[in-house]
Amino acid sequence: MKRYLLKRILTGLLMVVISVAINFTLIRLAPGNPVRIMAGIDTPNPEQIAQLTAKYGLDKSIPEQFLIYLRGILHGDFGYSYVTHKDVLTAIGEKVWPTLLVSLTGMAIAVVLGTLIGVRCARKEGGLLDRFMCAISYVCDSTPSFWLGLMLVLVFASQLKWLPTSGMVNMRGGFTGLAHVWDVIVHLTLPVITLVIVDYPYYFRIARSSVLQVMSEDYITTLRATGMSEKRIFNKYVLRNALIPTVTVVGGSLAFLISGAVFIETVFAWPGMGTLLFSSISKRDYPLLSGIYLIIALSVAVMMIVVDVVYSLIDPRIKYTD
Amino acid sequence: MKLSRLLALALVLCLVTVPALADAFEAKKDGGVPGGTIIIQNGGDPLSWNPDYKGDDNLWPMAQNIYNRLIKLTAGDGIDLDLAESYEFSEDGKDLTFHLHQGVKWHDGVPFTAQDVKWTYDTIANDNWAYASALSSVESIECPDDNTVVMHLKVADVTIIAKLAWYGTFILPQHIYENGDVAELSILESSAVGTGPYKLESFETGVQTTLAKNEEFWGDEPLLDKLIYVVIGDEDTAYQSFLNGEADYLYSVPSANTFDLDDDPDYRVVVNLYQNRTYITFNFNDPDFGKVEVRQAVAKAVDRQGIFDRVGGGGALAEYFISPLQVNYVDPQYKMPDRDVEGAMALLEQAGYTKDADGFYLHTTMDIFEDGTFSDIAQIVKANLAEAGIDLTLNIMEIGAWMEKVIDNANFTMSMLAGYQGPDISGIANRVQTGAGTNLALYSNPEVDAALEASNAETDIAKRAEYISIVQKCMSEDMPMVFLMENGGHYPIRQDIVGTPYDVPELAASSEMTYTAFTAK
Amino acid sequence: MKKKNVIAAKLGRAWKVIRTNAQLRTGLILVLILVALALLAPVISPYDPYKLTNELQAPPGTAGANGAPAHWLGTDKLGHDILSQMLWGARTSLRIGLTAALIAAVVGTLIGGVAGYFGGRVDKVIVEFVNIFVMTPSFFLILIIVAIFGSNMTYVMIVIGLTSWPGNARLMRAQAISLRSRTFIKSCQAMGESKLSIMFRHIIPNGIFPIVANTTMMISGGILTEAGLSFLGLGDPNIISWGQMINAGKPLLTKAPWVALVPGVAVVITVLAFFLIGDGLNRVIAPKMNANK
Repeated sequence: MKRYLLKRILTGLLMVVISVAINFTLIRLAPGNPVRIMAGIDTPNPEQIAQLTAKYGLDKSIPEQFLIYLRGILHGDFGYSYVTHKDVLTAIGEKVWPTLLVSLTGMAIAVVLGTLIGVRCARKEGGLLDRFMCAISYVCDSTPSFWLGLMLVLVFASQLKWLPTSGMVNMRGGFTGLAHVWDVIVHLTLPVITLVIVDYPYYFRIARSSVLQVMSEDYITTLRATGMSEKRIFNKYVLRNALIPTVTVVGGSLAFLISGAVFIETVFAWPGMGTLLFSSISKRDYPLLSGIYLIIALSVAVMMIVVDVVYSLIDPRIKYTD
Repeated sequence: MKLSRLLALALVLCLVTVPALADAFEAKKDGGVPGGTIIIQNGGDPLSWNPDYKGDDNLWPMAQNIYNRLIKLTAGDGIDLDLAESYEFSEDGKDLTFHLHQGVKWHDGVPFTAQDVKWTYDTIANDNWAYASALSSVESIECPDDNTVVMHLKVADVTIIAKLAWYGTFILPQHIYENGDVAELSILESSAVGTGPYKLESFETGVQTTLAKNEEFWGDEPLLDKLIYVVIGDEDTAYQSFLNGEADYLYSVPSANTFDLDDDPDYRVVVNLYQNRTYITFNFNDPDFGKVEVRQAVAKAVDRQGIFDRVGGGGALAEYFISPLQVNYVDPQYKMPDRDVEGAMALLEQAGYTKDADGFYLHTTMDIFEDGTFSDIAQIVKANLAEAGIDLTLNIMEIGAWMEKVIDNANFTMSMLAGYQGPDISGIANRVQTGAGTNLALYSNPEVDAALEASNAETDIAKRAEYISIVQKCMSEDMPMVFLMENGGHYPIRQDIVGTPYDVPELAASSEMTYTAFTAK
Repeated sequence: MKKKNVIAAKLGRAWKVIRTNAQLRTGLILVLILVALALLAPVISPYDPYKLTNELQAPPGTAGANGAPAHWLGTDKLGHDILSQMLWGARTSLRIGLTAALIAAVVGTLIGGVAGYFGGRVDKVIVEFVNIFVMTPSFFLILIIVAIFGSNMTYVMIVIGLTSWPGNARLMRAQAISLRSRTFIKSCQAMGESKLSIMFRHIIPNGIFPIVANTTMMISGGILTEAGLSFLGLGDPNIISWGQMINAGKPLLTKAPWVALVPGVAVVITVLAFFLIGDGLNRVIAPKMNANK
């Protein structure tokens, strides 16, 4: 196990570096130069451009820039964002919380709701609720989140005026304490509902099918033959084993949480990573772009390893050897 | 929009100054009360806190409240005094003297003096900041005393007043900037020290900027306590939050929603036209578009009325080669051609083009960047040109890539641009003069250059108009740009907000909130 | 003659599967309708989809000017007939979905097949390579590439295809590993058939079924990705696509909700159709999971 883990961490790191290198090179090869963009359309000033190009090290070759970048990261320096004029980690740190708030809330509800419905449907397989939920989940799964978000805004914000259109807080309010929390919850409602509707079918299907699968296994049949009550079998044996796949996919989804929020943030003008990502693309904020990419790649790698470990802990049948 | 309405909107430009009324609380007249916080929509974060260093449209509305210029361009496109109490030209037109307001203080309490003005202008010119061109005719600047600034000009240049009143000429605090690197100081919030009616209070990347009332403001007392500029990048979202009361004040309305609130009693709608025009331009070095017939054919093929009806918003149909607001200079004999698809095809055949198997005379690409209405306009232009046998492929680029391809490398055939061409008529030079910054077409006509130069030295409007007429004649013959639309605003303002720049167009700069207030509830 | 019988038997079995599998049946019917509509677009569209009519933002059912056909689904801001645009847009969505999924299928099958069948060091290297791609936040990568390099539809299809193959590679690898120990493969090897030939003639054809199911799902993914990019303003302006239509309807949401509503519903139905087929196929592969027995 230990050796396996070590190997996973090492290969994971290598992959992150390669993935970041590809991204690093791609964005620098693309047309458009950050310093030139900063100089503006009307009256670009060649002296300012030359000075800033040298200052940001953009006059060096790409491999050279990448080495400097890596060396910086080893010293905890993720670079300096040209556009926000901040340390990259600070710039990301400011924006990551709103994104985590909306996506984690959405995901948590989707997981719980999807799993509960899935387990319930599996127990009454083929019943009215099961057939209805199966049909609905297909449709929800096929709905683009941005479009659903627009439709919800149309109905609940523009027509009914129950909920705010966009943003995270009421700017005029200047609320503090509980009032502030309530304000954020109100703004959070529509984005979270959108996320839950498009995400729950995934967890629903996994919970449902794994419960069905476990229930059809031979040892369950044996248990039934012993006369153990259906309820006891379910709670003690089925549920535990059936939840393993859910844990795996939750881990996987956690990793892609940040990049997945782009649509929701665009539709609801939520001040998070999606917005930051967009502005860093359009301004060619190389260090910030690489920084966001690095963090996503890292979190993917970490989550995958964590999932493996958790998986082996809850399912004693799995043993890692190499 | 009818010409008469345009004329009514047009204010006499340049050389006419409206003295600020000492007690001009227009807002109070309309029931405005002091206090309150206004939420203003802004497209994004400012690049820095230095409004002169580089062009920055997100700082621009805030800059007008934090800083002052010597003279300012008002919301009505007129010129008003700002930090200057008065100014005069010498007999020969080569010395320009400004008399400054007394007792003005920077936000940090340091007194403002003529030295700050000299330092600002000198630095803009010497370090070639964004709008150094505004000062190109200045030989030297001196400060005989703390309240007087004298500009010695190389040649008589009447256009300098308008240029100083526009963009990138805010007076900056010498005591903040002189002790360090400007680029580094510009990005510090602590450098946002001005003389204006509001002070920077707080800034949150991607969220908001808060300005608080400057209690010691030297001019008319501002009424609002706070201005909060909220970042809502998406125009549609911004409009929805405006309708739902989450934002109080918008700088632009999506073109699809321009007329939505015209009959709504809760809003009053201000119609404004700018010397800002959307146009198609061509690369004169391209083998196809180097030919005048091809450019003329495009001018005849586009359906300007159709474009205006679909995406015109609060603007107007473009009919002339200069902005219709330049009433003294528009020469009505030079007009954009009417739509004539047959005529366009005849021109193409005259230039030696024949239709290919697909029915097209020529295939080309238009490179544009996304700017609200550009992609819609481009779709219409594509459909229009197809009717005249020109197959247009659209290439919508990210602005950074577009600048590199079109501006820096001139690697394009057709493109589209919009922009301010004022305040003085000389503003058109930047787009048509040989080698000018925004002359994307690489258009060069010695007759145009000579006429523009001559008009700059002329003070008599009638005589200047003769030179400008020559420019219009050349443009109509050479067709370096096909003007599509006059851009304007059609702004809904909530009835409980009074004294906005649109309400006091002779008093306030275009985004200056000094006179703005809420009415008593 | 004998071969014909085999084909007939296979078709018969396929028919039985389709008849008994509700997902597959519904999905196939929907896709057939969509394909028919897309193919017939030039014939049945009431208008040229690029035509700028003078009815702007007309609600569904508005009559056309001067005896022109009615706008059954209304018009958008520029005066395009939405029904015509929907029909032509179906071609775009299907093309992008199919091409991207096909690229992913080919790349994934080849890479997975080689890894699984050849095994050993080749396999190790490929597995790590696949892992890099699995860890790549693909939508983020697509977004960056399209935003900076341009939104040409061909690029979009290729980029989607080239970032979504790892799933296929993993499936094919597993198939190849299980197939290579089977007797018929062993006998081919004994008869001296080359490794490549075995892979193309036996391993891939016999192991392709899960890839087919997964590819069908990927068509859905491709269509969603294109719609998403277009929604973010990164669509190819020279084609008509449902995503761009939704984007065009965004500012008109309160005034002309049909502009965004209609293409959105179409995206849902199309994605659903391919999704159902993919799910149906998976149920055929793993009958244990079949819910509606």
